[in-house]
Amino acid sequence: MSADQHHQKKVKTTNEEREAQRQRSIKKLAEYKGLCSLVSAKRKAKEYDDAAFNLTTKLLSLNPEFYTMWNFRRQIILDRRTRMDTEAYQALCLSELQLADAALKINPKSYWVWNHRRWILENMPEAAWTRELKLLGRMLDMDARNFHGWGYRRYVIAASGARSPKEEFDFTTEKISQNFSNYSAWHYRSKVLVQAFADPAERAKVIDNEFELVRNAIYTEPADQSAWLYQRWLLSLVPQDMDRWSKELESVQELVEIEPESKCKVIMQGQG
Amino acid sequence: MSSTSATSPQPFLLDLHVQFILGLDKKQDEFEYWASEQLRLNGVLWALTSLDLMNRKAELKRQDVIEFVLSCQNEDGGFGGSVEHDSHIAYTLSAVQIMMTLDAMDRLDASRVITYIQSRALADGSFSGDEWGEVDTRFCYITINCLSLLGRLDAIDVPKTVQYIDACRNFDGGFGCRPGAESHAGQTALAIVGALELVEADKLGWWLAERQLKNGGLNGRPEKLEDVCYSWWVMSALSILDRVHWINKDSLIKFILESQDPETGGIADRPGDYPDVFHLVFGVAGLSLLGYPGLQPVDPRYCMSRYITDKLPKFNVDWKGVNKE
Ligand SMILES: [Zn+2]
Repeated sequence: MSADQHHQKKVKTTNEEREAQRQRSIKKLAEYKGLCSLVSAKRKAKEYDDAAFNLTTKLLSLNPEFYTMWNFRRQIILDRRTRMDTEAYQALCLSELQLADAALKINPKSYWVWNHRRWILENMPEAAWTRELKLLGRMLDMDARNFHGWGYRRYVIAASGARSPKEEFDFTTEKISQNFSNYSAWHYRSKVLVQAFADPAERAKVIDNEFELVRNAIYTEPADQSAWLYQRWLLSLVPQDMDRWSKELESVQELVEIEPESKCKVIMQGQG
Repeated sequence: MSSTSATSPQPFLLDLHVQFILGLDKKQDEFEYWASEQLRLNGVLWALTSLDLMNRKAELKRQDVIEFVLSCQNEDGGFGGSVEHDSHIAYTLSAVQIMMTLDAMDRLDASRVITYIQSRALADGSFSGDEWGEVDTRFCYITINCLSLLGRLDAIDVPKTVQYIDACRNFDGGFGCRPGAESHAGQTALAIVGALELVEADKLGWWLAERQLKNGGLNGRPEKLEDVCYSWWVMSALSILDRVHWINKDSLIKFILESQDPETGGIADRPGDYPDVFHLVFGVAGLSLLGYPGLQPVDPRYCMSRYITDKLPKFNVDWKGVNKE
């Protein structure tokens, strides 16, 4: 919902450059306004024809944040559905997913495009979950902290049941080993761990290993908060285990001696 | 052109910011102006609130703004981001906030707004943003915020919504946008507005205070860049928790002042970037919350001037951070 103006470094431009940019902008606006008035007439008349559909494609390529156009597009899709066989409708939905792919390449943080994706998957005859998981894998490789990417992954896993909590747990292991500072992966891990290991004995063993993993992470990236926060959460799972608490405190004290700058106050506070 | 000067801190450029806001509407021959039309109503709110906090509300033509807002209301009772744009719960809140700021609630057909909001309620206590079904705790907050401004919290099942927000709480004390989602400062600020009694104040306060970075700015999630807008979300949350003193105020004030654009006015996400009205309002509101002189005191729950929200009927929750002077 935010006006997404982030990370736009201010650059010095000459008067000529600014004027040229302005002229391009004015020309583009003429095309855009023309399309807007055509589509406005279609919407008012509730005309869900091919011309209307193509207009939304053009407008959304110029301005993917024009959410009312995504809405209108879905209205057209719903209308087409009543006149299509399942196979043709499935193909239409697949091409919508491709359109969303392209839009997300330009802006991976667009709420409206993610919404369109989700809506298509929920309204297509055979949801293309395998395709989605592949796309998500690629996205999180490109930006391991993409908020939408992680949220969407949780959605896809929950809706499709394509992967077990254990498989997702292993996925976070992979992400964390690539980069210990990946807080999104640590967070997700805290959620899937509880689901993946329900048996108390098994979980206790897993938790032991987790403390080991956290120690590695902390020694590799002592200034990073991710592992510290996770450690705090792990300790909350074993509130009565005094051996564990004193062992962790010991290793923190050790670290403070080597790395006075580290985020050790987490566990110190947890003690109190 | 660099606005970062280590030696002399930049003063607050009030007049330049007013000029920046008044200039926003003068770019109507450019594509970029129309390409952001879908959030015009938010733009108007951010501009108006910035001016109001700077005691310059009268710079906008009140009657024009009111007519524009009313022209964004659709048949379903909700508001779109502009004329002929579909209704969305976020723009509906913006509309109510603008009318409230302009003291024009008598012009608003509140019953239709309430009908729209009620139609967005889902069985589990959450809310969808529009008829197409996106669910997010942001919308719970928006709902509670909007209905409280209208004095009609009785129109929804508040305990159920609070229960839903609780399900979005995470291991770090923060809140995500859905059950299972990672904590996010914005969501967290919104969540505690909706359900303060759920909060583990010390744990959450600590997580929030850890958002401050060496240069004084705050980020929205661990290991992300500092940003003026997150500085607001984190600080408003800390303020509601009565823990603003857990961050270094002076260095944050300096960070916000350095994010001003001394050439055009306006505030950017961080020093040296292009300014925009979104970061301007959160920068000004942030300075107000930090006690910077010459600004209207801001209400951290609404990001509106306190003299406006003071007129609201009291909630059933004790807003410690707000009631304390
Ligand atoms: Zn920002």
